[in-house]
Amino acid sequence: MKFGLIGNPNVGKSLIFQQLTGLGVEVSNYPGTTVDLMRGNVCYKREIMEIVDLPGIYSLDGDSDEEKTVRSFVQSGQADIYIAVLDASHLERNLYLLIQMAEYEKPMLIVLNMMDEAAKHGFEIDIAGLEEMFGVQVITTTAIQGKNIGNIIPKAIFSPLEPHIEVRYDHHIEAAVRSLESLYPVSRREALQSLEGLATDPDLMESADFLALEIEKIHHMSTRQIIAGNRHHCAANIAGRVIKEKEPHRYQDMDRILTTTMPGLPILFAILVFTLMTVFVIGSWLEGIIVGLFDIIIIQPFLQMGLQPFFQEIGFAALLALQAGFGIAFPFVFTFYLFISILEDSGYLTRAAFLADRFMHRLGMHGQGIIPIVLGFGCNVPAIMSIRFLKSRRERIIASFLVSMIPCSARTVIVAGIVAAFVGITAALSIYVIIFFLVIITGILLSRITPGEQYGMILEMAPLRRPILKNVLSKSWIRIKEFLYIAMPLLIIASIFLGILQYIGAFDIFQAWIEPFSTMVLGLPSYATTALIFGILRKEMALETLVILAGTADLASVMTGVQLYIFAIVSVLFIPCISTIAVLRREVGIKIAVLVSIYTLFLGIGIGALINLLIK
Amino acid sequence: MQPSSREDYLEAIYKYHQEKCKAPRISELGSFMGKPDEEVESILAVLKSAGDLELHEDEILLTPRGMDMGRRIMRKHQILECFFTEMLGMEPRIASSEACVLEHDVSDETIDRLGRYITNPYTSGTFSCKRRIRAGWTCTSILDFPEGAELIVRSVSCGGNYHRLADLGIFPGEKIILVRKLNNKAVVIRAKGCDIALSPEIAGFIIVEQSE
Repeated sequence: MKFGLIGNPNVGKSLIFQQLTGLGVEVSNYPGTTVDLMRGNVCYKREIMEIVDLPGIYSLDGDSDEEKTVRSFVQSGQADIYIAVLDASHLERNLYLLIQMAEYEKPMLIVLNMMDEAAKHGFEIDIAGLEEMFGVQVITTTAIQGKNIGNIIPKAIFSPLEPHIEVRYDHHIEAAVRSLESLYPVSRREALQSLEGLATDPDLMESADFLALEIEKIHHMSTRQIIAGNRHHCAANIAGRVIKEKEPHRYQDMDRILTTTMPGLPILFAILVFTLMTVFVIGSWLEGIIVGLFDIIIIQPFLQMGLQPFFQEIGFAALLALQAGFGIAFPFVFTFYLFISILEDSGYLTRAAFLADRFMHRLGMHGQGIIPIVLGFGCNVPAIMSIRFLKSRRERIIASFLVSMIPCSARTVIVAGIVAAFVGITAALSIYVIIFFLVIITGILLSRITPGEQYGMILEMAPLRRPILKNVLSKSWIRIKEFLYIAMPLLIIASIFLGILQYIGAFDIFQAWIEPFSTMVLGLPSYATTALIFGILRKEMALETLVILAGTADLASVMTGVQLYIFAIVSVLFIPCISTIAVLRREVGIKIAVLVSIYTLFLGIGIGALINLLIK
Repeated sequence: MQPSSREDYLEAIYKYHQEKCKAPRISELGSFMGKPDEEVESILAVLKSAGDLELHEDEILLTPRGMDMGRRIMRKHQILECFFTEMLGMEPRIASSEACVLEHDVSDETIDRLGRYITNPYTSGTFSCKRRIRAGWTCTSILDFPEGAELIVRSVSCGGNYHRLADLGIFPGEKIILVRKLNNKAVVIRAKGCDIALSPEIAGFIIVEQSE
């Protein structure tokens, strides 16, 4: 038995999913699409059943990636029973998708979630009336408190009913549907979809297009608009019949503060800075502990085992990668995810996107683009993963360039450990200023040259809610798991590869070869360039390698301030780390991943050489 | 003076200006319209006092108001004449004189639709705001209203590209509230009880009217 959870974004669908399945969730790619689906198992009466959490969508006839994925999922009958989750406090809008779902006539259970919010808004919903209108069972829940979630599966299994709803479409649409039904072996729903341009059969599409054109001529509206309007009308009718409005509970309009230029923008800025600072402080503290413990418990004993030099080198490299993964993943990325989950659950992230919209336009993206940029300060890998939520490929390409340039926590370690420690705080800050400047220039440039249309932002503002700790933790946990699955294997492989290179002495050859270039162009000693290469593996390793190769932790004694400054800025800018390149390849394709790497390589070396030239 | 002769005069002055690229003198306007100078002079004096035009020595200059009226009447005339000759196959001379009569009574809306019908009788689609503005009509999008305004959607001129707007309940005839408008023109509207943030370029596509 397989269940599909379907619903609008922000209706608490993922929360219900998490509560039904626990944490044993698997993220898997649905064949033929780029959108990942979350799958999990639930055990009921000693039987294991699969639940798929479909992405939140507004319509089954839409053409965004998520909407297409869900449509083909439902059309191909992937699930046996659908669980439609609705936000009871915004019932009318949510009924729109439910009506579309009901037109598929697949076994379904309606879950009215957020009953607490509905009560706050003063809504009383006639459950029996709703059951009668759709012909399926309705269950009311408050997922945020875990109320009534346990009854969902038993009720869905006990009596899976097929819904039935008759939407009264415009009479021209009805006539077109009738004639299509008589000409082709299609159902009413398929005929409707063909009028919206969503069918695949070329003959059917030709007739449907012709009819649609006629209808559009009469109505001065697209068929999609007419059909959407009729469905909304039906939804409004149903809502009017089942909702009894009482005196609404008065609540303060926080948006007066959060979504205005003043004081909204300063608040946005303060929240971002506070998040980054806190993540950095907590992250570096935890990193110290984890890396230290790892050293004592695992690495030291391993080195004392006295294996053959070759195996010791490989083993050591693999352990280093593990150490790096845990040393960065948990302290920085997990802390960062916690903050982002809080911002997301509270509904603030959508407000941030709204405020940032205009600025992001200059960089060729829209408001939602701020999310990957902010995530990038924590770690570029999850940031690149999040660009899949951007609507067009053009935006995803621009975002992938910009995010790769954002100084992540590992690069902050370099700037702090080299420039702030040995040159001065002002110099360290100036690196950030230079990078932001370059990010903006790159954004403006890319928005001019990247092909594709610029889409504007259409973003529903999630209602403001108090985030709940348990939910924030489990959400962050699922995300960090995804991060570890992707980044860890790569780190280990790349680390072993570098270990082998070092073992066979490739670095000495490289160092001799790069020497003239390194001193001429960047004014750096050749071992510093080797350290930069290690930075590709993971950024803060550039610092560690530099310390090892220089033979002293007091870097100021072997390199001048200018050299340290150049080293830091080049290592921050040039080539994203190997894990970032890997997710880039996964999200935007090999071509863009290579382009990003080449661009940042030249940018890093160029800026380094420029500073070297100017200061000389 | 008949209201129609005011419109005729403004149209003629506008047309003269368009054709010869200079402002007409009183005598030149008289011969252009085929009317005696005395009549022209007396009517121009009335129009001047109504604020439709100004007289600089002998030259007739239209005020913005007069210019707008002249342009609209000329467009009505041209569209009607075009419809009569091209689509109904009438004789140009009769078409022109018929257009001269009808141009004073026909509504803006009818001319607008007729104009669209002539340019492309088979696809009509939504109002093209740009064309309406060029023709001197006003067309208000969400961006033209202040925060807190209650609006009714009239048309969504980019409906084809943004299906999501219709899915979110923003389609012709629907009531929406403009909840927030930043000075950079990003807006938040409330449709079906949900707050939706829109970029300025999308908000500009949504043609609305103030709700009564």
